[in-house]
Amino acid sequence: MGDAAVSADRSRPIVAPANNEEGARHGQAQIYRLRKPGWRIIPDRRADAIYLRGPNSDGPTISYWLPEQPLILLCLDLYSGELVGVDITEIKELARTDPIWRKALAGWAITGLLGRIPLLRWIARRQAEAVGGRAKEQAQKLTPASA
Amino acid sequence: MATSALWQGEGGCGDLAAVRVGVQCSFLGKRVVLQEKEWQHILSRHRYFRDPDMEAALMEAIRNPRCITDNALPGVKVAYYGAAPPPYRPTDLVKVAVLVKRRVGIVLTAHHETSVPPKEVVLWGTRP
Repeated sequence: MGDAAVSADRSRPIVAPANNEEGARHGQAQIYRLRKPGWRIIPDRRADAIYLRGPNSDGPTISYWLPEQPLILLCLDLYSGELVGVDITEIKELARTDPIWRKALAGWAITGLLGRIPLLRWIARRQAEAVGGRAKEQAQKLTPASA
Repeated sequence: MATSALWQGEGGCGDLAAVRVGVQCSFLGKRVVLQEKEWQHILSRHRYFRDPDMEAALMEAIRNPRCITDNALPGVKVAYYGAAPPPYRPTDLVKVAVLVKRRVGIVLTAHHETSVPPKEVVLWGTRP
């Protein structure tokens, strides 16, 4: 990104909400975006987190924690207010307190193990797709008005 | 900011890790370091941190925090909250999560937030 592009960006008005409650509401209302193509899952074992990233996630973003579950952060684009990412942090803590996330994490671990065996890699790939789908479904359930 | 140097890992890191930049934290009494591999991790998740101002703001949050919190989860992790640079609003915060080792602190993640989650206990400073 060149300097001119950066300064042009900085002159744009900020649309993302300035307080967490409003931002979380704004993000929850856009959870349906997870169904759109282009989203990818980035697991991070060291940070004990899973990141879901949308196709337009390169610009500056601001994160809003969910009041009911502060371990889940919704990332909105600073300029458009669009939901561009979901950070699921402290996975072990989340799995300990929530049985649904515990099942999802177990599926993730099994996938990782299968992926190490060459003949079973294709099973792991299918399993990974299923886990990804399940993670998206769970994220979509975060809001009652997900349609 | 290109200050790469070789640094002998301490306090359980156990390997040679390239340190991008290090800052002395008066609160912890430790040197908090941003390792090159952690920086690449942060960039892979938040690409806008490529902006040099963002990296400087991240280190400034450690040097000059508005508040420091304990996340009260397994592993000694503290979060530094500092002022976010432009194009963010002056009220927005940059949050830097640091894993505290025996002799150093290691930056784990960073992103921007508008407020401190209620479950985080403020160790130092005032809750923004």
